[in-house]
Amino acid sequence: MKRWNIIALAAFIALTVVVLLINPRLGQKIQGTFLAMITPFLKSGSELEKKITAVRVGLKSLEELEEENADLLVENKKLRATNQLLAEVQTENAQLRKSLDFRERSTFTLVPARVVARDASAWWNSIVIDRGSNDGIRPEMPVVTDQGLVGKTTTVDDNVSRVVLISDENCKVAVVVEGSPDKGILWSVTGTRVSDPAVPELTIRFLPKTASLKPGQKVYSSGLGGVFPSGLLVGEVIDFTVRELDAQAKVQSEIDLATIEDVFVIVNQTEEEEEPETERATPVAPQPTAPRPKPTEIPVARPVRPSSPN
Amino acid sequence: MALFALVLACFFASLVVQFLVPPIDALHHAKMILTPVFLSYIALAFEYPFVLAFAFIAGFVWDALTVQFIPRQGSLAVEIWLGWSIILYGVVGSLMHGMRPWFQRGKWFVHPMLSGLSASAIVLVEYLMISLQRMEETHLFFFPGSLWIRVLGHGLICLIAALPFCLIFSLAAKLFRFEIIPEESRGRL
Repeated sequence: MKRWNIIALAAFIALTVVVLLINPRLGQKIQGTFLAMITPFLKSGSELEKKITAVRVGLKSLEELEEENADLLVENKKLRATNQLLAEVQTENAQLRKSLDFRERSTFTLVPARVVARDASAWWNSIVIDRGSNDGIRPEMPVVTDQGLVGKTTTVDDNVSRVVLISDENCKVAVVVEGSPDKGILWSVTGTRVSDPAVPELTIRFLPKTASLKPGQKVYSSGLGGVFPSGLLVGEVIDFTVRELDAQAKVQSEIDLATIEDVFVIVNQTEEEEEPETERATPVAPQPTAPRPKPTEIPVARPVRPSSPN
Repeated sequence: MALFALVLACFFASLVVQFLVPPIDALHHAKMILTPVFLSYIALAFEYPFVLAFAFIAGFVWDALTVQFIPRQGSLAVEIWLGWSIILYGVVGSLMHGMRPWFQRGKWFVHPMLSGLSASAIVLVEYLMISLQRMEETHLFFFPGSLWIRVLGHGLICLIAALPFCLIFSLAAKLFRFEIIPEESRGRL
């Protein structure tokens, strides 16, 4: 063996040992730095990919466009009607809260973000978003879309963050099922660990044996654990089984995690003492050419606590 | 040295591509791992210290970009240690470098096969390490058929990426007497 080869091998072993001794905190900082370094390229690549897709999707016939337009008009009318109804409910809710002297009401501040990359590794399910600590994002903040919960942030740098998806086994959510007092822990303990990342096999575990859930019941985060606030839609029950010691329910998320493009990070939850304003903004997906949207505050369905009689 | 820097630049560009290319559904969501392709080229075209240097850089950057840090009870946990890929790429690179005589004897398919095998090995070792870490919680160690399809799928993608690469160099050697292996090391093979 040549002398230079021996020196190179010794240096290689020494440097590898040094890297292996790096503690996770420093490792996470290094990850943030590397992600920040490649994010400009990922953003450009992602934009190019979107443009190519847009050209492909944009090539529609006149008939298809007419059909799509008719569908959108129907949907628009439906949403207007729902919006009207919700406005009435909100006014009623505000009046009732005032009369009952409820003290707290939670609101979320949402930061819209764009997915710039997906995990390149084989076994983890995560995405990279184009917002970071400069936008108020910190590790372990919930990430949502208008269809429900997506995951939580892990590594955060100035302008980029990594989000672990709910389809990853490391993302656990304390949940409650609509119309049921039973609570459990939801996570993607798949039967195979090689399931389709776009359609995660989510399971609620540790439900009591006495629980009785039916397919179609909505599943919401319960707020336990401190990371995910209560009231975030996770999915709906598709199957329920009672086992020897506990019960389990399979849950399907409505979000296609493989094609998700725009998300919102819940950067903080504020507890308001005053009644919220009548009109509040609702989350809107950021437009591709629009400047960076400002954080949006929205109220959510969350169990409220009456103020102390004293 | 300039060529090595150029290969490194191409490797960094390939990392961006690997993050953007979606998984292949037909291969149970196998993804594109191109590092072994670069490693096989480096092993053929450069001296051993360069192979180790590339294994270190590639392994470190790959781990830094992909390893997951999980907050647990106020601290951070890792399922795969930052730096383990360096060891694996170091071993694979040394093996590839040691098998250069095969390439010189016209067996151009050996290095692409090694690239494919190493891509599968990397994915399988990752799976075993993750499964061992998660045993405490799930008490499960799965080995379904779909796992092997995904593992071999990674290798297949890498093999397909490396095949034309080595074939071109082999043809160039036959047709134009171009030698990928450095002149100073040819005599020792």
